[in-house]
Amino acid sequence: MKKFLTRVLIILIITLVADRAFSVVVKIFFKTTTTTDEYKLNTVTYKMNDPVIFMGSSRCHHHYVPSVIEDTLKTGVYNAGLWGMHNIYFQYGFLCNILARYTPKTICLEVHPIDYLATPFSQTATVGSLTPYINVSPGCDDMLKVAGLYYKSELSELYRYNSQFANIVAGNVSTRSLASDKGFKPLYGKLDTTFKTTPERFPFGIDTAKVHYLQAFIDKCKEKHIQLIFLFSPFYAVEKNHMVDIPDSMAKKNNIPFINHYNLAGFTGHPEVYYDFGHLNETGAKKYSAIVASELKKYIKN
Amino acid sequence: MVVNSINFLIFFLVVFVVYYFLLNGKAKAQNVWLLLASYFFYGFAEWKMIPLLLTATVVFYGLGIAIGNNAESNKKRSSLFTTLGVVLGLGLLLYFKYLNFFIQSFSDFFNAIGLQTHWTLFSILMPIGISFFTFKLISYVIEVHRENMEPCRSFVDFATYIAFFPTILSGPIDRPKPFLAQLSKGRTLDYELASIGLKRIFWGMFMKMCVADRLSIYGDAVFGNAIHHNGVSLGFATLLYPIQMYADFAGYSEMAIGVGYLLGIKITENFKRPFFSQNIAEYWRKWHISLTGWLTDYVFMPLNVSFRNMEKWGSIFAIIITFILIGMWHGAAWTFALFGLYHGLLYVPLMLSGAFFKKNKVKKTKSGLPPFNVVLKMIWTFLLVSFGLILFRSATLADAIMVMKKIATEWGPLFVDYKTLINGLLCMVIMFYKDFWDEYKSDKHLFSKGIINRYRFELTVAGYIVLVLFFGVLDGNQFIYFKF
Repeated sequence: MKKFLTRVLIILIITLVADRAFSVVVKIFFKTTTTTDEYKLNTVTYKMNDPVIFMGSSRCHHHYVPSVIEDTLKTGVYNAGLWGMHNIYFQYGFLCNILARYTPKTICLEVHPIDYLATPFSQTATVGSLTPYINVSPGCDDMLKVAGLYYKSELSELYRYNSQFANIVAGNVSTRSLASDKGFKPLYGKLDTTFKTTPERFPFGIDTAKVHYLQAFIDKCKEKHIQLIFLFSPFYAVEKNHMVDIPDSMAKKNNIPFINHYNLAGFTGHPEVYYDFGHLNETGAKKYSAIVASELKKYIKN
Repeated sequence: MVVNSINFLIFFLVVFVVYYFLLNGKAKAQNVWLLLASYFFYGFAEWKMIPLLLTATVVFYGLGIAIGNNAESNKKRSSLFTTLGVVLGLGLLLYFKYLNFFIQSFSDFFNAIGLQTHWTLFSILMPIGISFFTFKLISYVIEVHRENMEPCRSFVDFATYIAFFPTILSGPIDRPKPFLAQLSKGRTLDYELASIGLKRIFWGMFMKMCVADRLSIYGDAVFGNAIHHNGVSLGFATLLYPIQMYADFAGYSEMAIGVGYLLGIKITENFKRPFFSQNIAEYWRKWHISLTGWLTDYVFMPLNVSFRNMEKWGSIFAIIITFILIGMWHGAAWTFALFGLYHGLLYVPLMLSGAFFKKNKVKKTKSGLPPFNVVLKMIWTFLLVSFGLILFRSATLADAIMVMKKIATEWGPLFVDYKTLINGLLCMVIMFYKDFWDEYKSDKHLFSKGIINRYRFELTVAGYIVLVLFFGVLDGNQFIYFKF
C-alpha cells in the first residue's frame, strides 16, 4: 500500500508541475493571439480605453462598425462584442473585469433573448471564456463560481485554457489582425433566402437568473456612473411575441434609453444587407451603424 | 454519478479507504462493503429501482441453488428452473425495455392494414443498466445448469456480482464463474494490478472526455439538424461517429476495469482495438467483447447446433438471428433491428467463402507495420461499420434513409466547427497512435533508458491527466451506453 500511495503521490507532483509549466507556455501564446476571440478578450480586459464601448454577443460583434460611429460621435468607440452565444452571465463577468481597470463613459449593450429568456442553447457555460481571467475582478470570479468553473480553475492553471488550443494556434499562426477593426468583424456575402422562410422564434419563458444578472449589469453601471444604453439590432425576419418585453420594461424601470430596431424598415426583409437570418453583412453593418450613431448622438454628449 | 465526476471520486475514495484500511484481506466483510457501495451507487442513479434489483437478485439466487440441488438427482426439474430463470430474465427485459415498442409496432401494423386499434402505451420507467444485469442473471442460471460452476451459496457474493458498481450501469458483462471465484478470497492491495488500474482509469477518461465528448459536439450539431446539412457534412459526421462511440464505450470500459483492478477484481475485457480489423467478423471479436461473447455462447451456439442439418446456411441463419438480437439489445426500435440485420448479412460472404472460420493473424512488414493490403481491408471494414451506424444513430428509418440519400446525392461545403474539430481530431490521433502502438509495437518503448524510463508509468498517467485538463470536455456528459 505504501508503495502504491508513493506512486500516486509522484503522479500528483508530476501533474502539478506539468500543469504549472504548460500553463505558463500556453499563457504566453494566449496573450500573443492576433485574430481570434482571445485577442479581443485580452485587448478589452488589459488595453482598450475608449470612452464608448459596445457589448453583446455575435450580433454586436458583427453589427457595429466603430469607425462609422466614431465619425458621428467624435469620440473613441470600441466593439467588445464576441462571437458565439455569450449571454448576460458572460457579459456581467466581462464588464466587471473591464471596470477593474478603467471606467468607460458609455456602454451600449446589444441585448438578445439569450440574455433574459430560458433559451436551451445559452446558459452559464458561456462564462467558460473568462477562465483565463480568474482573479481579475470579484464580479468575474462570482460568475465563474455560478458556472462551476472557479474552483477547477484555481486547482489547475492549465484548465483555464481548456479547449483553447485550436484558437491559440490559429490566433498565432494567422497573419490577419483584428487590431485595425477596433473589435468589429465584418461578414461577407449575402443571405440565401431560398432555404428558409420562417421567422426566427424565441418561444421560451423568462429566465429569472438571467434577469437577475441583467439587473446586476445595470446596477454596476449605475454604481460607476456609466451611461448605459440598450440596443436591439434588426433581424431579417423575427416573430416578436414578447421577445423585447423584458429589456423594454427594465429600461423603463431603470431610466435607460432603449434603441429597439428589431423590425427596422430597410433592414427587415432585405436579404442584401444580411449574411444570415440573425447577422448583417458588411454593407448592412455600415449602413446600420450610421443609423445607430445618429440616434446615439441624442444620448451621448462629449 | 458518472465515473469521471468529482462525486464518483469522493465515493470511490471512501470505498477504497474502508476496503483496504479497515477490511483488508477479510473476504466476507469486503464483499458486504462492496455490496453496500454498489447499492448506494445504483440508488444514487435511480433509487426507485433498488427493490427491483434486489428482488431479481433474491429470485435468481434461489433459482441457482434450486438448479444446483437438482442437477444430478432430477435433471428435468433442474431444466425447468433454468427455463424459468431465462424466461424471468427475458421477461424483465421485455417488460421494461420492449413492451411499449411491441404494442406500438403491432398497433401500427394493424392500422396499416385497415384494422383500427386504440391501444395505449404503458408508462414504464426503464431501470438503468437493465440490459447488463439481466444478462448477468441469465448467464448465472445457465452456467449452473450446464454444471460449469457450483451455485453460489453466499447471497452477499452473488448480489455483489450482480450489482458490482463499476459495471452495473454500462458493463462489461462479467461471467459469474471467474468473478465469483475472485470474491471468495480476501483482497489486499496488489501493487501491479492497482497501478495498471490507475493508468486505465485515466486513459479511459482521456478517451471519453477528450475524444468522445469532443466529437459528439460535432456529431450532435450535424445529426441533430440533419435536414439542414449537406451530404458531405453528414458523411464526415458518419465517419466520426464510430470513433466517438468507440472512445465513449471503450473509455467507460477502461475506467470500469481500472476501478475493478484497484479493488483487486479483474473484470472481463470489452474492447481490443476494433478498428484494426480486416473484416466484420474480426471487428465483432474486438468490439463489445463481453456482449458478443455472451450471445455467442447462449444464442449463436445453441442455434447453430439446432440448424446443423442446414450446414453452412444453418450457421448463417444462426448468425443473422444473433445479430438482430445484438441490434435489438441496444434499443427498442426497428432501426436497431436493421442495424443487427445489416451486420448479420455482412457475415454471409465471409461464411460462404470460409473466411469466417479463419483467424486473421496480425500481419506485419519488416518494419513492424501492417502491409498495404491489410490497411485497405481495415479501411473497408471501418467504412462498412460507419455506414451501418447511420441506422444506429437515426431515430427512425426515414431519418436514416434521408441521411443516406443526402450522402449519396447532396454535395456541398463541409460544415466546420474549427475549435471542436481541431481539438477532437488531435485527441483522436493520440488515441489511435496508442492503439496502433499497442497493436503493432507493444514490445517497444520510447525512452527505454534513464530517468524517464524509471518514471515512465508516473509520467504516462500524469500525461493523461494533463491532456484531460487541456483538451477534455469537463461538464460530465452521460455515457452513450448508459441508456442501454
